[in-house]
Amino acid sequence: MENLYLPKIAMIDKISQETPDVKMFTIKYKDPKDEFHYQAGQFFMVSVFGFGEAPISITSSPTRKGFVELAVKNAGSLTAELHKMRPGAEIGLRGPYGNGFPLKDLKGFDLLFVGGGIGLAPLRSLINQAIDEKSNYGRIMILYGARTHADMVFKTEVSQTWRKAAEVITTVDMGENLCDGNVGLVTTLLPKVKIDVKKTKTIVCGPPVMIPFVLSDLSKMGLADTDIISTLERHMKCGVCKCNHCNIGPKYVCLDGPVFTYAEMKLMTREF
Amino acid sequence: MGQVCAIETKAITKDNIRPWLAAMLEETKVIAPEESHGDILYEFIDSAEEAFLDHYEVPPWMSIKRFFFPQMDTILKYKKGPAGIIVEPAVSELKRVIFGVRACDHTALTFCDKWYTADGLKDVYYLKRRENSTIINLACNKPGKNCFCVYADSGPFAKTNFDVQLVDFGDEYLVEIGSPKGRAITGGRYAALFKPAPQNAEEKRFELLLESKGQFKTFVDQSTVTDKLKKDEVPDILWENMAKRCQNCGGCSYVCPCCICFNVVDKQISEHEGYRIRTWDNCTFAGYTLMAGGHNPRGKQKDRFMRRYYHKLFYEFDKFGERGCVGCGRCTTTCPGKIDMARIARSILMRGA
Ligand SMILES: Cc1cc2nc3c(=O)[nH]c(=O)nc-3n(C[C@H](O)[C@H](O)[C@H](O)COP(=O)(O)OP(=O)(O)OC[C@H]3O[C@@H](n4cnc5c(N)ncnc54)[C@H](O)[C@@H]3O)c2cc1C
Ligand code: SF4
Ligand code: SF4
Ligand code: FES
Repeated sequence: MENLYLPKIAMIDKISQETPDVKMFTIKYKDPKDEFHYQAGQFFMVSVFGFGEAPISITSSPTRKGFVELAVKNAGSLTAELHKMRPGAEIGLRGPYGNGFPLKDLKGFDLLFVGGGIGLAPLRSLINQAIDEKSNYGRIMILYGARTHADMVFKTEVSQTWRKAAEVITTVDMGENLCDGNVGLVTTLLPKVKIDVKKTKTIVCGPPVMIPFVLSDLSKMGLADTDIISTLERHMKCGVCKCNHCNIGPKYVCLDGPVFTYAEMKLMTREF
Repeated sequence: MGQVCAIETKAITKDNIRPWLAAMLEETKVIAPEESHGDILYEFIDSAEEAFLDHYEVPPWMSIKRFFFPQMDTILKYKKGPAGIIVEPAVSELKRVIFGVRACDHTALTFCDKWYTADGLKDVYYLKRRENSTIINLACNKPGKNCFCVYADSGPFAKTNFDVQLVDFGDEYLVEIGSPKGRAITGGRYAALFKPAPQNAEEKRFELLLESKGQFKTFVDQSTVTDKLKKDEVPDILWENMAKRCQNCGGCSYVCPCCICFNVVDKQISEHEGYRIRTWDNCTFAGYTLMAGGHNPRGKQKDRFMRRYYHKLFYEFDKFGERGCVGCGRCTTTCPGKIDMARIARSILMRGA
């Protein structure tokens, strides 16, 4: 019987400081025979031995092989410890878990990404996959909001690389936006893109406070609830639907999610 | 009566129970009811004399859950050495017999089996312990004052899935054997302790079952409660009022044989070495859903309290066709706020229309 809770040892290969409190870790399995197989939108349970496990979204694209990238915000005990680690340090990985983004349903459509803060991390996986497989999709549009310019993650991609293949607009809540000047909440970017609602699917990810506003604005723009896709975050302890922590009504975010359509989310009337 | 799933029946005199336990102890670990400061608890016994075989008010204070899903269970050990981190799983291989298990706890175990194998995801820690256990049930002739297994369809006699079930016939027990494990613990070197079942065993068993069913004092109509939850017919104010009385002690879920939530934490024993432990958790705790950054989707006590009942009586019922409550009544005995399953169900039925 396979042991669901046994992590595989992996090694931090590279680290980049994305923002004052977000680092991106490039990770490889220690045993070169182990390979990464995942879909955009899935997550790993990351072990920092002595500090426990935390769910972290995969931010690399499955089209780029041999490693996985995780962008982690220093938010508590485990993530603080991870931030202290250096290349060569060992961690554990279980997964990938979760349903991932519904690629089949996205094929042939224009893609509108709306990200807030570190919520751009799971979107980045799909953005880079869509760019690498551009012929499968129509336009790629990326709206990204961060608290301040310093809090923007993946700056090189946001300000340069993605702009070669996608339409990118950014905003900051406060201060100066050195990227493209916009200041205001991410919802203020929505009127700036002209979309064909019949041909567009949107994928939204951000902090819990942002999600409801963006989803309702997208609805008002005429997008169908089934064409609005988002991810939900819950406290997780197992990732394999055994610990019971991540339920929303009868649904489990670790197994049935974390990706849900707005139509599915509207049916989740019970938080308990 | 026809639905009893024994593949074979025998009998054993009460005088032969201790010799039977003693014979088991020669080859395996044995867990049996033991008296401890006036309470009856299941414990590992070292000699047959330690087992408490007289009548006691059922159910024993703690269920047998902890022998399958311990309150604290080391699941992994890790060591950081010159060659890097080595992780070793710690799966218990201990073989044991559990003697004197009541139908409620036994049904709860078959319910937990469903949870720990659900969605094709098998929990090796639980399932290994299951595989390594032989369970000897003891049917209840006299239910306790808070018991309502008969309304939860889980007792007072187990109907299926048992290894062995003993039914108290006075000087002897009827021995119902329900599985190959049950055959092994009553055959071979143990066979001489048993005799054929008495002639009138079926009638006598049936009479005892009826007699037992007639003694229940706590009535809980779970299926009507489930219907009301499904139809959203329980007013919020009722939940508010009940939830206000919750002390957040966690007692209800710790004593509950069907509560399976867990937390996972690492414990360092040195800079280089440590354990990963899973512990019981309780969905009524505020920290249960608290996320880094302070967002708590179930920040309100009412929502957490509702979750406990929706999960047990609605979601689990939809998923498995069984409710996460077998009617053992332990939460009634435990809850300092007097907001246990039986009382909640009664309040919902009386006022929740
Ligand atoms: C599906 C999913 C994907 C995620 N992806 C990312 C990501 O790509 N980058 C990132 O920086 N963060 C991500 N998070 C959030 C991240 O898991 C938490 O920030 C992290 O668990 C905090 O752990 P900690 O020990 O540092 O914090 P502490 O506050 O010390 O946490 C204590 C414990 O609570 C649990 N916990 C706390 N917050 C959360 C939370 N938000 N979600 C789940 N469990 C929590 C953890 O299990 C942790 O062991 C994701 C969360 C989920 C559910
Ligand atoms: S036993 Fe009662 S008071 Fe304690 S957590 Fe459970 S419901 Fe609340
Ligand atoms: S909810 Fe209460 S009565 Fe039901 S099985 Fe659990 S402890 Fe027993
Ligand atoms: S994380 Fe444990 S059930 Fe979803």
